[in-house]
Amino acid sequence: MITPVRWSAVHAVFGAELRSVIRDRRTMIATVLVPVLLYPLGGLGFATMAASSVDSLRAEITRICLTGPKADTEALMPAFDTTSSEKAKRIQIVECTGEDRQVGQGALDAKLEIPAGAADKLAAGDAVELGVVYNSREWRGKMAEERVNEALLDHAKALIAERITEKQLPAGFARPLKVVSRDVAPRSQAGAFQWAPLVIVVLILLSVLGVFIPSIDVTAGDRERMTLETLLASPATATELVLGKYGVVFVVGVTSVFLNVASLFGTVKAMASAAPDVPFPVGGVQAGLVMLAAIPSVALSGAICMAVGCLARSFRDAQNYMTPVYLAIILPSYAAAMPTLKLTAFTATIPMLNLPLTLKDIFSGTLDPRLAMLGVMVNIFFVIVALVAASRLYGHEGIAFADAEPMDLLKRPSSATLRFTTGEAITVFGVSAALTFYVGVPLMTKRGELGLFLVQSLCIFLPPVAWAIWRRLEWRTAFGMRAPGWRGAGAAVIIGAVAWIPIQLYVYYVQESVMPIPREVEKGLRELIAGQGVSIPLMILLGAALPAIAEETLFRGAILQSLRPALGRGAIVLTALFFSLMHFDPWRLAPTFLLGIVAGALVFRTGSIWTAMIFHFVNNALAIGLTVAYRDEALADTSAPPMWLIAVVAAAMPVAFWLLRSPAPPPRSRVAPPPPETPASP
Amino acid sequence: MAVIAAQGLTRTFGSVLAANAVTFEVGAGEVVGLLGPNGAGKTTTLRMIASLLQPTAGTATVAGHDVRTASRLARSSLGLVTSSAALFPRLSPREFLRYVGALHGLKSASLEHRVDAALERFEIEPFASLRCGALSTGQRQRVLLARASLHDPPALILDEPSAGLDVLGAQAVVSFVRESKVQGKAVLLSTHDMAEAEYLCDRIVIIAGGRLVASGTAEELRVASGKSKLAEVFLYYVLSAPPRKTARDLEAET
Repeated sequence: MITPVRWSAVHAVFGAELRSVIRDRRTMIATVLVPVLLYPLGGLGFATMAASSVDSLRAEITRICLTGPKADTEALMPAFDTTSSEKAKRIQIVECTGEDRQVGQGALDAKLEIPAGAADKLAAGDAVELGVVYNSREWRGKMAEERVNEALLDHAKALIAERITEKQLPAGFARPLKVVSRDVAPRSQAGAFQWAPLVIVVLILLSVLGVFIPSIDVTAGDRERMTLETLLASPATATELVLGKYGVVFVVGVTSVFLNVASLFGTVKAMASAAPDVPFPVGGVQAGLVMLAAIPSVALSGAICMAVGCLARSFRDAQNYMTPVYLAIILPSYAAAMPTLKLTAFTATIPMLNLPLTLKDIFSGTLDPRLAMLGVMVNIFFVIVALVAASRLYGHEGIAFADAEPMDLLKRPSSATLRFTTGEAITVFGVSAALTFYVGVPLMTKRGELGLFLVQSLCIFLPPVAWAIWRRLEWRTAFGMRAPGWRGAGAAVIIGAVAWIPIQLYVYYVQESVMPIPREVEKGLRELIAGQGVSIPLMILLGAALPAIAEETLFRGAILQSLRPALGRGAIVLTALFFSLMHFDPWRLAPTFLLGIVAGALVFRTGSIWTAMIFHFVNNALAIGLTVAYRDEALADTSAPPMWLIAVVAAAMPVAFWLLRSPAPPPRSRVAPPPPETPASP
Repeated sequence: MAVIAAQGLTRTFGSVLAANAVTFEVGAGEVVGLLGPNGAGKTTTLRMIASLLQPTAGTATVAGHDVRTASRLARSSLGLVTSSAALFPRLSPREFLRYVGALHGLKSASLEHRVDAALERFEIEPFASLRCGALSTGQRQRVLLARASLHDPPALILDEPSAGLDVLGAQAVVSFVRESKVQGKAVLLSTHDMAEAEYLCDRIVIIAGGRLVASGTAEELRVASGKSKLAEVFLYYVLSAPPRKTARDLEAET
């Protein structure tokens, strides 16, 4: 039985838990103190200290020595003349023995090696190769090398100018091309590819930190403080408690993100006003977008952390469990540094990966709002999954009570039920949908027919069947495997043969005016159905028989049979909705939904999943046959069916209804009937 | 009519049969003492009645609500005091009582009135604004008693409520039980204190090895056992109890 959620109870949990969490020092340090202080201290404080340190280093004198024949070294001395070269002012020429080991030992920062004959070559207008010996172990050594190079470069420019004048050559003789670059990126996006990855990692890291401690506090903390039993003894359900607590985690996490973003951007703005050439000059609009984009991530990481926290008996226990979760959330943020990884329709559906990619697009000003919305929807879906898991785990007696049997996630459940529970059916659907989307769709794209076979058998058929075996469910009831009888089977064949015609009418008159199917999509679908060089029997097997068995086992079997006792006819609609969503095709959403309704109604009427399988098979086989027969013209998916076909439907439907005139008996109760009572012993 | 009724309550933890077909009732205005040595199955039985643990077999009702099929209503009808249900250390007693009251569905005006009344009744007002984490054991127990009675439930379960309390604290518990009895509440009191049980309880139920081994008034148990003191009666029943069965034994029987 589904217990309705009392929102007043959720509100009460939220209020009291928020008060309690706010009074926790650990939470306040991680959520408020760290973001508020870290960026100003790290940005302004550390940068100022570093700048001041660099300034004091630059004020220091670099000591160098010149080695080589005296006449040659003297020829290079003008390069270090402090009266003619500004860059030479910080260079002091000292004496040395010429050994390399003296360089970088305190008295000598660099050594300039001048070859014999250098003076003559320079006088003759020739070039000379000089050697700069320095020690990069310390900043001083590197600075010495740069200073010597700059001084020599200035001297070389002076020599070129002298030679051009002497030879009476034009001024551009030594530099025929002068290049000036112009960056068209707005100031707020300039160099985003360099600084954005680091900013994204820091933001996600600290945002997760914002939900990390509160999620442990409201879950494992209850067990440690022994307040769990206090709450479980109240009339509030685990769902109400988890929702209220999740509200706290979410609010604290979002607050943390806002403080992080405001603090980071405020610090950068302050730095930018002090030094206009500072990189990362992000504007207020981007700051707002970053905050908005981070909300789904906080929602998801908070829900995941809560679900994991529900498994732990103590704060320390939870911290151990959280470490891999923390890494799993943080590691995808490094994806932002990979130049080839972009936000696409596929990557937007991968939770935790979609946020860094969305942030990257925000910073570079290339965000597609549709992809961002897709990412949000995907995150919401996974939030719901994580919260369902959390409400199942919170208060689980194996975790709540030390003397109870410890919870074993791999323990085989007892066989108390005849069919899937609603939660099990929806979980199986979620697993199948995730497998189909993340594994099946890429497989079908790359492997064609083999991919189609693997999707149907492994992604759709296997999950419900494996779960039924694991749960020791009663197959006949769990999947509605009742014999259909000749009338049910006959009706299924007739409806399967004509159902596509009214659906075609719908597509032509409704969908084409509201949401027309793009021609390329239609063409692709026709090519997929007609098969590219695949024999018709094989295509019928893969495109009709296999989907009929696999998809009906999942939808009209596991899902419809589990929802039927609670929802009645509403189960047909909900199952059809799941069925249409599973096709991952917005243009086929309505047609597949209608087919799902018909298949569900057939099962409802006959009590047999076989009728849905027959219907599904006939419908798909006919679609394949017609597409192959009219491969190039006529009967396109979006064209209106001819009148004679409509007449066929009109004639066939009464026959089908006549065959289905007597309904199936009502389904049995979800709970196995009790064993017959044994008579009392005398 | 019984306000608390346990019917064949059974619970296994792996191979351990913690409670084996425990059956008893507590009527309105009645105080029933649940006695048993440590590990006898008292807490497991109480937790099943409070819908904190699912029974492996059997059932229990509180104010007519089945703890398995109507657990929310059963919990609404019950006030629970156990040593394993603590206060929120970062909330004050007033905030804690408001929280629990709201979970029981009490609305703002009625909630405030009841919280104020409970603070006064259990003499919590002087420390009502302190954090619960800073309270003494006696003060905490008074807040827990206030919590159990805040929603005016028809049934109370008190699991060793006077354990670790000084004389004044224990006296507060005794007054609470007697007052609840006068108000017509059904009180199920688990205790190791024989004098307290004899003084407060109308009937006594003894559990040993997960099974109910004796039930009746103190006088009836004395007569049946031939012992004069309740402590002797207790020892008599506990020591003569058959050894605890295992879950496998139960499976073989069924």
